[in-house]
Amino acid sequence: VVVVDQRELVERARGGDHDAFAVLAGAFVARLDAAARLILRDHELARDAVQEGFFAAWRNLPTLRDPDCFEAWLHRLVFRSCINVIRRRSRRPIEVELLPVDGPVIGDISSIVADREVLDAALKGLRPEWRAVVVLHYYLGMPLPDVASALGVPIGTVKSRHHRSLQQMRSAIDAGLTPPRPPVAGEQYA
Amino acid sequence: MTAFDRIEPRLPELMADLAPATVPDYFDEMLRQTARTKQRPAWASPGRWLPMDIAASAAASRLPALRPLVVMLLIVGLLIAVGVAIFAGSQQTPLPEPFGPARNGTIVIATTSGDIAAVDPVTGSMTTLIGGPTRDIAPWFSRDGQRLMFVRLVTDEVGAYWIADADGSNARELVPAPVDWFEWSSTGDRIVLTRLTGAPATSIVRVEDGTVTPLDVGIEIRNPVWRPNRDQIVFSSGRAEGHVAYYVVDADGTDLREIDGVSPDAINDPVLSPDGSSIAYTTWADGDGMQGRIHIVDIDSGRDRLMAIEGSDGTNEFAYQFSPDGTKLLLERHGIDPSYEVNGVPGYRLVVVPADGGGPAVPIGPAMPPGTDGATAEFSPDGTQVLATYRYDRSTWLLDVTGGMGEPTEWNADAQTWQRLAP
Repeated sequence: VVVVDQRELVERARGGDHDAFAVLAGAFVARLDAAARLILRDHELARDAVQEGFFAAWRNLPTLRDPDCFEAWLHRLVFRSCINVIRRRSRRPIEVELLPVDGPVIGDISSIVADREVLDAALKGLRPEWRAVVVLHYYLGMPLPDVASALGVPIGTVKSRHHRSLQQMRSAIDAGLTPPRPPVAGEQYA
Repeated sequence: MTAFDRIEPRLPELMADLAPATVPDYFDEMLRQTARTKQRPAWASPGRWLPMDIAASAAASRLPALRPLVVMLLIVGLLIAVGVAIFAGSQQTPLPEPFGPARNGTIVIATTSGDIAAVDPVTGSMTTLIGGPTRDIAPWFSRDGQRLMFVRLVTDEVGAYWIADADGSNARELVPAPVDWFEWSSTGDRIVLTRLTGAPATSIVRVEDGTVTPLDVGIEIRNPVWRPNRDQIVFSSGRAEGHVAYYVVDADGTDLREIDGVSPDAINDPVLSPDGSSIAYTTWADGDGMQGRIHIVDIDSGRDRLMAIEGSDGTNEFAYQFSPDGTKLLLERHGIDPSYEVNGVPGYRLVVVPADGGGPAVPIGPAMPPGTDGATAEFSPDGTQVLATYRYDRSTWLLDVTGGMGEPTEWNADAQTWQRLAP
């Protein structure tokens, strides 16, 4: 078994080794795609943003000076693409995605599904820029300063968005927000 | 406990349920597309981004055993600097015009040990201007040659902005860390700076009192430079897939406009002509012969022309700088194929070409191995030489613009700037 560390892969990819880039991309694409879907609420838009981010990563890799910064740099490219998509999509209807639970679930399934639906609706109610903060912080586990760097906004703005997002989600959920009905395949919500 | 109190601790797992992390179905196609896409060269944006990659080497080379020597050199340097200052003060020499040819003054460098030093380009003698235990990098002379800006690192990657007189005296912090890009105004009374650490932000700073005025034009500002002979700033801003557009805005943040005529495949910093009328830039697109082409666009009319450069078949080129009189352009020429030879020599070279596109392309200096990250290079104030430091081996060379190999200097610099003096 040949163990290749990430730094070596980045250095190889930076030198034009596309196979190395493919390994790196494979390691990150699933979570970045999921995070983009959570932020953008639309498979197609998420695909656009992730592809744009990975394209930029491959194209600009030779200019990345510190291989150890690759992950943060890739996050920044993908999530700034998300923000660009948000800015471009203003008139496009947004698809609300509600996927079935995959794999075994421990505990009260009905409660988990209900909580998931409630959260889904609460997230949907957030402005996309605020939702990006919540997703990066809670889903990807990024500290708020890293979220600020990834999204290209001041840390004060991120803290404000984080605080206001939680307030709004609390208000919506505690007010007994009705979970949305299960979507029909292909149906879009405004 | 409210419903939200119950949900909040489980936000990560509930979000993971909402959007399972699986490899998306477009992944293979995406890789096929990236495999067909050419990477940008590492040298696509050398610009004046602070050379943070040398910070670590500076730190590593600062061995405790060298401290007494450094202190001695500092003392000697200060004595010499004082002498130079007294001499300069007694001369009352006129100042050069902010643009156009000037007389060659002192070369100031950032040493590999983290000091700022003056070098006599004729004798090669070196005088420490800013020494001590701090790590100081990226010196940059004002257009009148009277002041120096430099960056004092507070960590390996974050620096504060300092300013000093040309002889190293009166050093003071102007802007606290972090700063990632800076450029003097034509008149030397202001600087434009960009911060990328945290949230990107651009500001204008008055040198006299450090007053900071945000420059917020509603779009991303990259690589801002002052437009010669006008109180305007030219900058690039990102487009899709790593391309850029160029903009011009008044220094007070008004009258923003995109420069017309620029190719959608532009990738690098704007390189301004000394008269401020045009910029040179590099394009990078897919397709044979579409990488590393040089354009020059007129800022006001939007007239854009692709330079036809002698010997550019099978090469990528990147624009560095106009000569002080605006008649020449300094380029870096790379072979597309690693086996490519530049004028019979493998690798890449600096090339001087006529800015109007006619006439021969003159290779200067040594050839460096392919794919070794280019160089930082600038014309001497009088336009007769080029001072270049190659990233491959960090060697610094003084090159004659009329051609030839030139000579390596006796010093190595991580960054350098050449003082302009009145003719």
